[in-house]
Amino acid sequence: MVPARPFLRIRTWGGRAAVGAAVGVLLCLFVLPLLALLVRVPPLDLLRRLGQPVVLDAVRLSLITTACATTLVVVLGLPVAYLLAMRSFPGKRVLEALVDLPMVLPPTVAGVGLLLAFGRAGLAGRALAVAGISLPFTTAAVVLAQTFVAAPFFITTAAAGLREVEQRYLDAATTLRAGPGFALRHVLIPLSLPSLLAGAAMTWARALGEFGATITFAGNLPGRTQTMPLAVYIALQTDLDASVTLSVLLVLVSFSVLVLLRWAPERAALIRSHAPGRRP
Amino acid sequence: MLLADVRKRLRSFTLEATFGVERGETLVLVGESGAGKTTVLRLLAGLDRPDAGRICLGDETYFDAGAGVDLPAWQRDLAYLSQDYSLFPHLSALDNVAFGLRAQGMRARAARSRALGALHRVGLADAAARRPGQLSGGQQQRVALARALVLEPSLLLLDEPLSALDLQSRAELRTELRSVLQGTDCATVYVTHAPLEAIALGTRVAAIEAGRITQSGTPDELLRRPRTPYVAAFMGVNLLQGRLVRGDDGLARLLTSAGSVAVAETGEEGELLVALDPRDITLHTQQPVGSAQNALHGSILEVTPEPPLGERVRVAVQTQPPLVAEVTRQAADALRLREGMPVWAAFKATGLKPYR
Repeated sequence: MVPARPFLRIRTWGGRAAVGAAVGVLLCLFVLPLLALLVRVPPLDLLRRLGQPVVLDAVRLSLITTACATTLVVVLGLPVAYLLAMRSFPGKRVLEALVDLPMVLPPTVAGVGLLLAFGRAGLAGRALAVAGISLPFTTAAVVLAQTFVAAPFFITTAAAGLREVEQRYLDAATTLRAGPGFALRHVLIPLSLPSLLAGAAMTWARALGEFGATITFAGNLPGRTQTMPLAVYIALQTDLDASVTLSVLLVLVSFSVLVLLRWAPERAALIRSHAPGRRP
Repeated sequence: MLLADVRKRLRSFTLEATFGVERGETLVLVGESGAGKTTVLRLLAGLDRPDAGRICLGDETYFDAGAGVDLPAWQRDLAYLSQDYSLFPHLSALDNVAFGLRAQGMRARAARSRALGALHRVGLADAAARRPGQLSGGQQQRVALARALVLEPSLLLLDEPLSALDLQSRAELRTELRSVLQGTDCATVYVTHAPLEAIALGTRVAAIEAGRITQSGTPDELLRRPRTPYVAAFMGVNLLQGRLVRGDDGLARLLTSAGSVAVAETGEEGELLVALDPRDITLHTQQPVGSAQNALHGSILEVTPEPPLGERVRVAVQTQPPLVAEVTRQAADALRLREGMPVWAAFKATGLKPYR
């Protein structure tokens, strides 16, 4: 745990009131909607409604697509993170900006872009169509949309983690006969594992919440492209309770991931620091 | 044997070093911080790239700028022990030692059993399962040494391996290292700035000053005939430089830029050096009458115990030329030596053999 710093303690009552008010207002803004969701459906009803086909289909689809998207992001993103962390090359800053772009881009814009690129008449879509592959409005399109939007979370976190691995360990590995592949598998990845896992978890959570790019590029077909966030939105018109059930589920899962992300590295650090002995 | 002739441009000077190390030999590189010692090791290891030159080990060429040869570090038959050991924090002591064997493709079981043997030889078989964070500094050092030696390298590079240890374990490990180095037939390059280590471990010692080897020889040679003020200071001896002249009494004198001293006749002429062991200088509160031809007057600049809290005391005296004397603690106490006190420093001329 980062210790509280004594220097900037607020000493006047006015100051304390101002900070308290700011915290209070923000908390209301954050907590009230969550509270509203939770009180709307009693816990037992929540469990019962999970069995509804609309809910079940969306949950199943979301689990499958986010698992695929996260895997895809890790497999493709790790080499990119490696490049950004360990190498310097012309255009590196541009690549960094490009990688970060999906984080600030409206997801609907991403969806339109994907449609124009991989749609039937799109840049790459025409070539794909010749090969007999049509992406839009398929489950694969959902995965693609999630990958696009969620990749930056893994890449930036992973790159930061790789950058933190001290050069001396890589030097030690290479003088101990470890070729690049062996050093990568046995030193670089294990030493940056907490960051890699955190990045993957954040990517997964972001993919789970993906809405705009998915509905634009993949459409809203129950069982095929209707993920949980889409189902929440659609059910709002027809079946409010189903909508709320999915919303509560999403809130719980996302919140758990974020708490776990903060708690796990601290636990790991705690275990390490409890080991006695002097470090060189 | 190792043959190295390397050049590399560094921030404030160009490193230029040519040296060879036979199998079974230990070359100790000494020099001030930033003189380029660690860089030499990193160039040999393949962690840094020389701008020019050649590095050969036995029949193998590791680096040859002219021929465009630059063997990657991991393909070189060497082990490099860095100053901070750099044990992998996520691996047990055993897996740290087995790392190099595994990297070479040895199967896990065989590698572990070899590693356990290596840990046993450094007396740490019991600690095999522990992580580096659970080991003391001395234990980490031993694990790092085992990790290097288990590879049976042809070239062993040690970068101040004892500097991170407390005094007690430093003395222990120095003795252990000595027997380890005598037991292997690899060429060893050992970087240190501890004179004791250089003398105890070095077959030869090379001094690096601002990227150049200014003197190299056996520890004894450096002790008796230091060629530069740095080497003399490192070995703890006084070095006087000057021109040989003949005094009125027919005796040879070395005329330095600050005063002159009577020296022995060696037949050498011109610009010469003279090394003077601080223990050969006696200090007196009154002008001494005796057989020593040299008695210089000056005030004490500094009194330092040597080693700290040790039996002897080093006394810097502002004579012409300035000298450092080393006397026993009892003598220092009896004479009540202290800073600013005027004293006479006496020493014989016969021991002072000028050399080029």
